Amino acid sequence: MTWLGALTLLLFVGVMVLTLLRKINMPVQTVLVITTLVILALGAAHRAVFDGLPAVLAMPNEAMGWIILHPITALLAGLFMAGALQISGGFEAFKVLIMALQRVPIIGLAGTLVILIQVPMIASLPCGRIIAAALLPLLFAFSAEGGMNVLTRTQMIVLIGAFSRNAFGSCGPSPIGGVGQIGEGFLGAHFDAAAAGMLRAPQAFALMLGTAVTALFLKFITQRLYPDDVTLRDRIADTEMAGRKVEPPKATLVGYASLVIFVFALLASVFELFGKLPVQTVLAGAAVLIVIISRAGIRDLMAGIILLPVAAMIAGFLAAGALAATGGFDALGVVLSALSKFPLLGVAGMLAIFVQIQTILPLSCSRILTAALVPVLYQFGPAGFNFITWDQLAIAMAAYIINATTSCGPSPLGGGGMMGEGQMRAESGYIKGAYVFTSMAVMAPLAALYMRFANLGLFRSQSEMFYPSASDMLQLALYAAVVVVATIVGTLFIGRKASISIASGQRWQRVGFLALGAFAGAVLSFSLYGLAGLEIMQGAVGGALAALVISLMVPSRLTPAPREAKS
Amino acid sequence: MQTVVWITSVALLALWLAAELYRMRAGSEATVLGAVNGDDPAYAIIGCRVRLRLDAEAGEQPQEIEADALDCETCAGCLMPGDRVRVIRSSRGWHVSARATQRKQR
Repeated sequence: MTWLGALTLLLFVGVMVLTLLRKINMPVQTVLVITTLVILALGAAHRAVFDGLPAVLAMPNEAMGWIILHPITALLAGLFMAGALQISGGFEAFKVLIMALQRVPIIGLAGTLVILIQVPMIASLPCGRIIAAALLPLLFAFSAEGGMNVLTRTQMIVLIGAFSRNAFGSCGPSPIGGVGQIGEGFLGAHFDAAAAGMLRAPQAFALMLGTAVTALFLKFITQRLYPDDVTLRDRIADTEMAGRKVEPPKATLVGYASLVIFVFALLASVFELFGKLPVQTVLAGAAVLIVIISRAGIRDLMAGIILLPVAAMIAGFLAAGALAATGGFDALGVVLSALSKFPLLGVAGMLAIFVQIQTILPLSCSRILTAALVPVLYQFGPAGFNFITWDQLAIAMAAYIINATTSCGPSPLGGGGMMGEGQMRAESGYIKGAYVFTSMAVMAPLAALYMRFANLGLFRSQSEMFYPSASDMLQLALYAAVVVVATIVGTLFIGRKASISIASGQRWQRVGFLALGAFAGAVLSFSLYGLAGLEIMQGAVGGALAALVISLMVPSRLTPAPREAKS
Repeated sequence: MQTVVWITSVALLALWLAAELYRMRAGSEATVLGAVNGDDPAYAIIGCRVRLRLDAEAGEQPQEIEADALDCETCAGCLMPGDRVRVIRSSRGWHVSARATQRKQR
């Protein structure tokens, strides 16, 4: 490890922590680009002194070489498509269809709400904010304030909170520029068909079950720990509602047509209906078609596209490039190697901490750190430090990516979850405990289990490919059930303590985080090493350490900012 | 096939660049008043629609509008009443442009 690498790594981590603590009050992308430039300047000065001018001139190429174009353009195509859907009224058409679902007897209101909560994952758009912005107002309509007055305050909190959890994790498994594609790109070095979606199913599986546990956490713990921090009204008497009428959503023919085009394009991308035509081309073509049929102007198009995720991703890649060019990743590797030599942790414990790193440092878009840190995780495999095999790398990657991709939800830096909090009229930080708990204790271990038992054989070359056996699937079902049941029991137990007093609830919440964090670390190690006692113990220690840091970041009180801003 | 990939990639990157530049330069200045459906919170606006007062054009009265603030998260946090932002108008209404041009002291 050179002193330069240590310095640039320290600079990067320091700046990220300061941004998270709001000591640096600038857009995180801008902070990252400035940090990148400073790191590159330091690197250039170092090379100028020790290696000469040719080494300095090679630096920009080395840094830019880390920008992987495929996930960026896939994300652009996905956002272009989403923008086109907004313009054409496609989301309005979707709302009409959702409302119509209620009238199907076998589904009813309860079934419709459950489907609504999982809709973001089903739609799998490249950024959860797109579908959240489109559907949160529809969810709000079910409340007394929203006009329909069919759900109680608790039901609204659970509905909006669980929906947002699902939305702000749905960018991971998205086949159209999802966060998971960054990991799949690296796994492609060994697994020939990784780019076809190797990380998609583990993420979807974990997100689906994690969403359900989030709902329980919100109902039994969050509501009791922060009883006065939601101003949403409870359901009111029907007599009070007399005279109030809610405008039902309306859609145009163009809206329905654009929705059909979107679904077709999504299916064509996932199932390669047009052969090896890249997903970007299919989506861009479909989006252009939607723009044409909706007769949208250029101004509509410019206003309809979300920009943040792309800028975040590019900034993350740039920072990763600068760190790589100056030896920052080598330094991180040395630090993590040293950590793995600590007997209580070992490689298993170190990995149990590493997969939780983005829940510890939640930024406004998970792509920033994913682009910077997935290369580090890759280095743990046979291509770098050789700590783990390719199969183990895939398992760790599955756990890392779902944990990372859900990290924008609880981010205090304008994270997606704030949209949900805004919609349920809650103070900032209301949903944080529920979101970080499920990312840490449910989703990461479930994704690892899924990868180990159901996915590892599917994405190899034709000659090496194999399907999971019935025994594998049974084991997956059994171990996943153990994880889910353990977290449900833990949630209900903490909820019971929280019903006694808030202080007791907070105390037991921390204990619950530690216990289930350790359990999650142990499950991750089991997925990686099988029934190896030492590694499972090390994973539990690493998981508990990560859980300790995560639990300390959950606010004990949601204090609003002073009502009078300082001038 | 490689040509198709490159054409698509270049077109998409050009579109993103155009949208970024458009959001930076086009539109009008406005001041954030509060959240739509909210009760004028003094803390950060965390909804996705905001009320704004559009700067008056020469000889006109300031106008109050509602806008989507989908990209408000780019302000390293959220919008606060008093923040100055740029807004753009499309056929689907007003939208807060990507960044706050001037943030009220927190």
